[in-house]
Order: sequence, then C-alpha cells, then structure tokens
Amino acid sequence: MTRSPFAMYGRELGALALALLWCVPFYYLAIVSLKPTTEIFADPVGFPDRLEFANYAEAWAGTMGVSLGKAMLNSLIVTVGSVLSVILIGSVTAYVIARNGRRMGTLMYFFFVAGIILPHQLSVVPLYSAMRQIGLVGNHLGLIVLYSGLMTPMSVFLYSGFVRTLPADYEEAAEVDGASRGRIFRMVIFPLLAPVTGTVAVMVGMVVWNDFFIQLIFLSGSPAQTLPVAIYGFVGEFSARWNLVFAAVFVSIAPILAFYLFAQRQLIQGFTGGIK
Amino acid sequence: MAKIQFDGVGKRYDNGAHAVRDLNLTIEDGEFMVVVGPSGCGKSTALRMAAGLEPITEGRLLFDGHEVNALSARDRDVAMVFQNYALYPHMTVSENIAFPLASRGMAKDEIAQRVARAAETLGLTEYLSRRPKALSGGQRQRVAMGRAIVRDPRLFLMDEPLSNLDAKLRNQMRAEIIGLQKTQGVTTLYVTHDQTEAMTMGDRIAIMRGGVLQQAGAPRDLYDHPANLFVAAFIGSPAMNLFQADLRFTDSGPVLVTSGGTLELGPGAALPARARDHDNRTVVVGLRPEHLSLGDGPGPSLAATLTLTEELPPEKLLHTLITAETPMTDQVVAVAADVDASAVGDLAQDARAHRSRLVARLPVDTPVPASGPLDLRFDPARLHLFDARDGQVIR
Amino acid sequence: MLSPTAARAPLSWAIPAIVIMLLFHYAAFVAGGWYAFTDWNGLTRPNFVGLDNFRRVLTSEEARSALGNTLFLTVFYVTLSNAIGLGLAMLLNGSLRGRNALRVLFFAPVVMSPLAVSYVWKFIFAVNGPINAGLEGVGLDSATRVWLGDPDTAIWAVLVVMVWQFSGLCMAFYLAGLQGIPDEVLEAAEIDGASRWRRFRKIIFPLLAPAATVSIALPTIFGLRTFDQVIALTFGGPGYATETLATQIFKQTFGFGRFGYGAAFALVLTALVLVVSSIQLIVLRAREDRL
Repeated sequence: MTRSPFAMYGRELGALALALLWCVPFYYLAIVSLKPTTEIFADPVGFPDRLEFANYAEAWAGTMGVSLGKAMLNSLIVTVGSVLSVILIGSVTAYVIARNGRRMGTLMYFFFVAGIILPHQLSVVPLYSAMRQIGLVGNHLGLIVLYSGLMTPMSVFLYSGFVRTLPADYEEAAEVDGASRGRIFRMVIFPLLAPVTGTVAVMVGMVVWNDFFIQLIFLSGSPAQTLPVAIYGFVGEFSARWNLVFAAVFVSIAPILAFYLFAQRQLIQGFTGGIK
Repeated sequence: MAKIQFDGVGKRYDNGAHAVRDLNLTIEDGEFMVVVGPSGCGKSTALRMAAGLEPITEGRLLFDGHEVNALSARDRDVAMVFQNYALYPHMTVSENIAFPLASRGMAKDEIAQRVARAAETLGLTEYLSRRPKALSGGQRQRVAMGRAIVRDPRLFLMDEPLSNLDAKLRNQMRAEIIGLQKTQGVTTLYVTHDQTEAMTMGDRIAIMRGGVLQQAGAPRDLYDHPANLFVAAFIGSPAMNLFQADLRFTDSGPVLVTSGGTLELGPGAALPARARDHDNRTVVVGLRPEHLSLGDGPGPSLAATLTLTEELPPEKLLHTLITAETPMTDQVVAVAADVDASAVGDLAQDARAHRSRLVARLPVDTPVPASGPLDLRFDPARLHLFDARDGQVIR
Repeated sequence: MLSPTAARAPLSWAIPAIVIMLLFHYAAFVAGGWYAFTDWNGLTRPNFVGLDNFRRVLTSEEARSALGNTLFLTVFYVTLSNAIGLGLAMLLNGSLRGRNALRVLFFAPVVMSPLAVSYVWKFIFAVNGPINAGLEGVGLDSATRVWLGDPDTAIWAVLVVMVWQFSGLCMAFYLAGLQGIPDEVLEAAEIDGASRWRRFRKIIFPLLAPAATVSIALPTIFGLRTFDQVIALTFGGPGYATETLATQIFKQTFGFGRFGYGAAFALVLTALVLVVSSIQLIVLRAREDRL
C-alpha cells in the first residue's frame, strides 16, 4: 500500500493525541496521592514540589477501624472464594449440559443462561432480606454465596461453549482405562477445560473485585468490608483531603492494574474470546 | 484374555435404524480378529459395543461365556486404542501410560515398574516426561499402544489405529502391532477400512456392510472363496475383475455369452457344482488379475483392448477393456462408492458403453505391445461365478 | 438404557447449580416482583397495594429523572464508546508504531474499579480542580463551571467517565473482529479498485457484525445499570439531575426502607433491560446472519 507521508503522520499524531487524553486520569492518579495537602488546589495541574509518602501511611489506616490492608484482604477472600466456587459449579454443570442429549441440554442451557440477562438489582432486594435472616449479611461467606449464585449463569455460559467442542474420546479412553465418573471429571475433563477456567477466573474475579453495588448493600459498616466499600467510606470521611483519597484509590487499583500489565494479552483475549 | 462371542448382537437407534444387525461372531482366545468394511458399515459400532461405550440393544455379548451387556466400559477390563489416540494432552507420556493402572488403584511402585517395562517394549523410554504435543505421529501411536499393553486386559480393541500415519510408518507399525499381539497373546478386535491392513494383520477377518456381517474367515479363505460379490470386490488389490455374461451349457461344454461374443470354456471346464442350476441365466463372472495371462496356452481367452500399462516391478499391470456388460449390482456399487463418488461414475460410464474393465497382473518382463488388441487367457477353474440377482457366489 | 455419554455426566451433578439458579435467580426474581406490588418496609409484614408503586414510578419527579437519565446515559454511552472504540480499533489494527502499548493503555481503564475511576475524575472535575485551573490558565475564566454541581453539566460528566473507562472494551471487541477478517479479502478488494473508504464501508464494516453485536449489547446493559459512577461523582444530584434507575433502587430500598417502591424501580429496570436487549439481539443477530 502506498500512502503519502502526511497520511502516515496524521494517523500517528491522532493516535498520540488520543493517548495523551487517555493518560490524563492516570497522571492525576499518580501525582495527587503524593502531594502535600496545601498544594492540591493551589496547583492542581502541576507536579508535586516534594513527594509526600506520608499520605499513604495515613490512608492505609483506613476508616472505621478497617485498614486498607484489611479491606484488601477482605476483597481477596471474597474474590478468591467466589471464583473457586463459581469454577466448580460452572464446570460440572456445563459438562452435564453438554453430555445430556440435545433436548435436555438445550433446555438446561437456557434455564441457566437466562440468568445473565436478568439484572440482579431486582433479585438483590429479596436476597438481602432472606440472607439477613440467616446471618449471611456482613460477612465473607454471605458474599461468596451470593456471588456464586449470581455468577453461575455466566460461568455455565462460558464453560458450555467449550465443553461442546470437546471430543468424547478422552472420556471414553478414560472409561476404558477403568476410571470412575468422578475420576474422569477430575483427572481428564477438568484439566482439559483449563483455558476456559482461566477466562472464568479472570472475568468472575474482576467483576467481584470491582463490584460496588452488592458489596455496599451487604457489607456497609461491617468489619468484613471490602475495598470498594472501604474506599467509599473513606471518601465520605476525608472528602476534602484529596491526597489521602487518591492514596486509597491508588491502593485499591494497584493490584488489578499490576495483574493487568502482567497478563494483559490473556486478559484482553479472555474478554474477546467469543468473537470470530 | 478371553474368548469373545457376539451372539445375535444388534444396535438399533431410537429412530429404528440399525447400525449393526444380528451379528454372530466368535473371537477365540488369543486370536487377532480384524473387522473390515467401508465407512458406515457398522464395524466401529461393533467395536464400541465390545468396549461398552455403546449400549447393546439386541442380542448378547459374551466374554468367556459370561454375558457382559450390562457391564460398563470400566468394568469390562478391556483396553482400547483410539483412532486419534485420545492421549490426555495435559499428562506426560508416563502419566498417560500409568493412567489405567492408577485408575484401578495399583500401588505406585508397581505402576512405575510396569510403565517402565511398557515404555521399554515400545522404545518410549526417553520420551516418558514429554507431553503428547511434543511427540511425532508414530510416537503418539506408540503411547496409545502403551496405555493398552501396560496392563493385561481381557481384550484389546483397536479402532483404525494406523489411519493417521503415513504409508511407510503404517507398514512398520503394522508389523509391530502384530508382534506385540503375538507376544502378549491378548485377544484382539481390530477395526479398519483398509483391506490390505486386514489381509496382512488378521488371523481371521470379518467383513461387514450396512451393519451386516458378510463373511468371516482366514484372509486366504476370503480371498480364494468370497461368499458374495461384495467380499469379492472388496478384498484384493487390484480388485477382482468382474463382468456380466449368460451361462449356457451346450454340447461342446459350458459357454459364457457376453455382448461381445461367446466364450467357450471347453468340455472339461471345472465349474462349481451348482453352476448347472444357472443354465441360461445371467451370472457375474469374477477373475483375479493374477489369473490372467498372455500368449498361446491352453484354455479360453478374452479379446481385450489394452489402454494402459503400469510397471511396478516385479510385476506390471495391464489395464484393458472388453466388450461385456459391467455389473451394476448394489454390492459392486457399494465398494466403488467407498473409494469415491467418481469411481461410481466410471462404473456407470462403462455400463452405458457396454464394456468392462479388466486388469491383468503379469511379471514385469512379459513382452506387451504398447496398445491395441490382445488376448487374455485364463484357466476356467479360476473363475468365480456369482448369481447376478443376489450377488451370492455359485458353489 | 442411558447412553454412556450421559451416564458419565449424570443429571444429579447439576442439582446444586439448579438449586442455585432457582433460589438466586428465579425465586428471587419472583419475590422481588411481588414486593413491587406491596408497601413492604423491610421489617413489618408487607401489604398488597396493587399498582400504587408503579403509579408513583410513572409520576414522581425522581422516577422520571431517573428513567430519563438512564436512557440518556445508555444511548450516548453506547454510541460514543462504539464510535471511539471502532476508531481506535481501525487506528491500532494497522502497522502503527507502538500500537501494542497503545492497546494496553486504552484497555487499562476497563479492568479498574468504576468507583475508584470515578473518584479520580471527581477531582478532575472539582471546582478548583485541573479543568477549571487549566481554563483559567489560558484565560477562559468565563468557561469555568461547577461541573458536577451544575444540572446542565453533571450528567455529561458522568457520561465522560463512562466513555473514558469503557471505550477500550469496544476497541478490543472490534480489534478481535478486524483480526478475523482475512487479509486476502481486503487485498482482493484493493485489487478490484475499491477506495479506502469503500473498503471500510462495504467490506470491513459488514464483516464486523459479530463484534458489533457484543460491542453494543454489553454496554447497553452496563448503561442501563449505571450506578457506581453516579454514586461517586454526584450521588444523584444536583437535585435529581443525575439519578438513575439503579441509584433510585438503592436509595429507595436501602436508604429510605421503601422496599416495595424500590422493587417497583427494579422491575421497571428489568423490563427495560429485557425489552431493549431482546430487540437489540434480534436486530444485531439478523445483521450477522446476512454475512
């Protein structure tokens, strides 16, 4: 393809301009947390005169007796717990759906996948009152149970697409080799599902880690509060002190951003896997 | 090790279609039985029923006289080699081979011993820690074999295990599998659609078509005494020559009347005993390519036109045409269709032109003209005669 | 006799998941729907009040703004993020230098918490924040505003944050779609003498149909459920200027204890999602089928 050098430059300049625009929030994310309090609004645009790392120490203490470290641990527990449970439920169920004949399989598939479209805003109200009665509000377990329930349709959907393409040969070979049903699933099927398991883990993990609506409802004011709830409470208390707010925000974004930079290719692929 | 009996075994689907119909076949203890036939003939279904992967809907399957219909695959104590090997991609070679032993709860050190021995037998020792992805086609095939020989199953099942290998490797593995089977002495049921494989490997061969067993017997037996046109056309390469003729018994002995003329077989011609019942009827005549010769010998000869010579030392193949109707019975068409749809087209073209193709197999140094007419001589005792209506051999 | 394939994966293994679906989706959905017809306050026994809640949803000011804002945000968010996403994908699909770094940059906001992202923007939009400071710096004092406190601009601020955060997702979808178009097809079109615009219009754009389906359907659902950004940036204000259905569900139910009224909002949101998504999927799939 022959193109005028101008057209080449135009494209690169356009890309550069957009990139700079996109960087603006990252720039503030990086600098505001390190500014001394007095400087924030005196010079909102510029670079800090001196780096105030004490902001982080102060933000780390958190609010209402929950440090950011504790909140991060809470988020981690809830996320890991939900991911593990959703992987278990989704993989087994998708396997059953794929292997149980066309009619039964289709019926069950729609039974599960319909849950993806239904917004959970409506279900959350009765679920909240029911779970409050059995003590599943304000703790990790409740959230893990809730997310397992809410994310099951998505994981069944993701797993189903893959299991259907899995030839039955492996299972047949394993059965002839004398493996029991449980062993076939554990030793042969589940390992073969590893690529989807990765996708499910990333998608569910991200949704749970970043979700705010449900965590706000279920964990507000509890010692089990997760990062989004803690940040929300923190901003409510220190709204005027942007450097502290940004330190807290940075702490909450850093782990997932680090993970993203580390595994960006797989992560983006996980999102777009369904598009041919 | 066991004696396997199919006793009227059938596979009927919910829509009423039969994949296998009333199969009666016994595989003796230690025997290497090859089931062969075109695709869709039911051979794989029969194998999968033996494995327990496909429910048996009719009849009984017996291992050493005990019915196993209700036993699941894991309880039948059989080992199977799959067409695409079905190696577990996430396990190493040694884990793959160990899997059937570990599934049966064998002790770790005994597993290690057995895996080592199987790997040794198959020359896989240095690849034990590799994953299937890092192996060549032949090595994968060996791993699949290893998974089968690592324990002492009652029955080996092999589902076209060589079809994914190239020709040279296939020949080599063929010999290896035969050797392994003989040393292990395990009853084996081997499915293939390649008749050469069947002929070279099997102690006995069972030929299937459309879910029905056509004939079972030693390779040589099937080759020399095909029970019907399908078996005749299917076994042998190049295939048996077939053309149509009217059989008549005259004062000067039996004759075959084709659209090209009358072929005197001579007064002393040794025809099958029941041939007389077919006096004045149309029959299909079969002649193996190696039973045709040139020159002035005794016996009748066919006036043919040479179209092409293929030299393949130590022999050469003469492709000729004779004026005689091409049999278009469903059995012959079925064999052609297994080759390719275009083969059926060739057959139909020959039928419309009232001609038949004849291939003669001669020593490579036989002097032959480049083209043109020649006489193909044969011994009437070598003739195979089939009833033109049902394709059954005339005995 | 059961086929061995099915026997290896007995239906009983799916029972836990079926129970989960029944409880967390279907039963909860029905229960939530029932609350919408009661005056339940979360504590005492609910009384059936018929369509009262829905009458209020149709007439009250907060509800009308919430509905209007939700639709406004969804339409503009879907349109803008698709336009920008498609543009970025076209830009970054070629042989541009540093395109991988740019892809990573544009997609990065997608993985971040919307709440945290919104707080960063809240600072940018602040009265004495960077935007106003920048405007003053170049002498445009008159253009400065209380961006988040002005009913005319607050909703746009919310929109900017959403578009900034999720255009990268559309970009990724379209990039995946572009990579699925074989080079030969485009080369053939070039040899056939099609101009660059014509190649985009007649070949690339139609072949991107599957990518467009996801790129439109997913942000639509996100848009209809907008919550985090509003809570962080404006908490629905000023007045009701940035209320959405989701913020109203939260406030009515958990703020004011009007569980019945909140459920009515949720039912409206659900109906909206179902109707819009179904229409979209039918239209978009039909477009894909013409491929």
